[in-house]
Amino acid sequence: MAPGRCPPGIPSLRRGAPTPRRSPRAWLALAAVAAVAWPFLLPRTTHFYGALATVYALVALSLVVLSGWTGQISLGHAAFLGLGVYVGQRLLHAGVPLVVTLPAVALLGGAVSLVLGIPSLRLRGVYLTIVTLAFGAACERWLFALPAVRGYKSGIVPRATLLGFPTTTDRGLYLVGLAVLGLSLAAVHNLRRSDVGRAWFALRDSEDAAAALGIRVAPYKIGAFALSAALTTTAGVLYGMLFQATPGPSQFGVLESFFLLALPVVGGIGSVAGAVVGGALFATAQPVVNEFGVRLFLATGVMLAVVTLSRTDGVVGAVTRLVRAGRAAGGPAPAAYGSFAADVPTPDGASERPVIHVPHALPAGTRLRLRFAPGGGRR
Amino acid sequence: MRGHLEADGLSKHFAGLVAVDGLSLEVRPGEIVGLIGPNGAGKTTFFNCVTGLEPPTAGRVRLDGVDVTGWSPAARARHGLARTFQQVRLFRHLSVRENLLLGRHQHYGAGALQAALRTPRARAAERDAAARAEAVAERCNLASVLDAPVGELPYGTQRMVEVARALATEPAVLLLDEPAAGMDTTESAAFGELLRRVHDESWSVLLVEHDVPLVLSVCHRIYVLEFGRLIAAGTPAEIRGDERVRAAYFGASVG
Repeated sequence: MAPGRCPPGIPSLRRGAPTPRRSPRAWLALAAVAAVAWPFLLPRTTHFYGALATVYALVALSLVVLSGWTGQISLGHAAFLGLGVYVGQRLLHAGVPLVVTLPAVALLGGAVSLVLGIPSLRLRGVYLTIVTLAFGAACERWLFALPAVRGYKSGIVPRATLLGFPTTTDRGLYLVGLAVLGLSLAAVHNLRRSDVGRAWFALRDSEDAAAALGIRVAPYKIGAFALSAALTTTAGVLYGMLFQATPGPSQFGVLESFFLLALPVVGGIGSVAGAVVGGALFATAQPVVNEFGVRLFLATGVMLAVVTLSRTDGVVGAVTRLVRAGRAAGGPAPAAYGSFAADVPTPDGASERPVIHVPHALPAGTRLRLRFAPGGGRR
Repeated sequence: MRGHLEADGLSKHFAGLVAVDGLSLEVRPGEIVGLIGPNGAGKTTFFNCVTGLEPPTAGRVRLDGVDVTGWSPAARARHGLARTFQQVRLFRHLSVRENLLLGRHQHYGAGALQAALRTPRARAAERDAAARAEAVAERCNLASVLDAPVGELPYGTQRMVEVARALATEPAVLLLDEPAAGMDTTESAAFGELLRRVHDESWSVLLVEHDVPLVLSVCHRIYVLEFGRLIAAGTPAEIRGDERVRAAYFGASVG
């Protein structure tokens, strides 16, 4: 190989030493410590909003998986939340320990989602949305009004202990919610980094191309729906415990599903972090908008419009973009990728495209200027 | 030997229109076979019948001796049939690396539960898939763009990523639907060169293509299709000299 010649491959301008960064693990540990420590530093009145944030973040996480990654829309997620509230209340009242109630309710949510999802599997597009819309309406008007489910009167939801850990204070419930959320985040994040997560993205972009790689589209779609339903139903148990009462069926109607969808959209529906941000944002939004005398519904609409029009992936997307822009301002120009053909010698040796080899020892950010000299040699 | 694809009397009718008319074609193990024909000759319809996107009206498709005629595209893929699309269908929200990793889907050694818990087996599966995806990228001249979002790549390179992704499945037969469409002449020549370089005896290729110089330069045998029927079959030299092919397809442009 002649000196100064690129190794075979596509010339890429993104060379130069990477900027040293704090490892993601360190940031994660820092965030975990902060999440556990803050309720011990802030007044008791804030703890309620922390607990609400864990519930909202769980719901947002379930929608990141379903809508953000597989591109399916559910209008029945408020109903799944309600299912968790009512069934959770029944189980807790019957003396079933919380550590059993949570997974049992998750399994129930997953099972219901299979009943809804499997008939609509053979159909593409909006059919899951229509089925979940019907499910949401049926729950609100009929199922949740049955005396055996909720009854017309509000029931009291006990604050059960989790393996001896009390949830009688909002701080205790927050920490339990945080544990459930933390486990869910870890599992979902692991899935995203595996073949399962990639397959979800693949079938969102093109079901035909996914199938051409041997991916069974149906089990992956239904699997995402079942996981999503299970997470939201679990969140329902904590939601009921937080209010210590079962809210009326109208709290879990179709309109409420739209509100739940706003959580990850505003936070950032493409990432696990967006779910946490969206959950925290909306849990604390109510006292903030009260301060300004604005309805939360209006504020939500404005935030949704801003996210949609700005073409960023919510708050997380905007922050990522800002950080990238900040880094790029000091560093080399963004990458420009060349053609794969640049280093493939053609049989006749003739190349219609001048190939310019740049020694990659050049410092990052070096500007190269080309001058075309007619009649001159190409190399 | 893997890679024996047989289409036997394949026909496809659309409401009175005969798109493919009793086409029989064979790709033997280790061969690169070309299928050419003017626009509307039925190449893509034939392709879709072979890959399972459309059911044929009549005829059978066999892959390595197994009749796969009624199978779904995914089932055919798992039996060793890999394909690319006429319009690039990359997963644009993923990087080149993740696209190639998806090519390893069939060979991934861990289930969803193991992946969620990130068990040692899931880690091993991920490592193995990553190593194979990188090896494919190396062979296809894509190693330096592994972490690029596919949407930022030039079109010709995107097509190459799609071919590499199909190769990562370790197919018995690779079906390429006009891979050189959208490539310039340098890229299409480089593509032919790369295809010859990565191809070996253990798998075969069916190349459906408009780019006649590419087909003539890489294929061992060529079938020529016109109005849904075969009008010629043979080696590149035979096809070049065939009067009917020249009249039907090349016209005066290839002399």
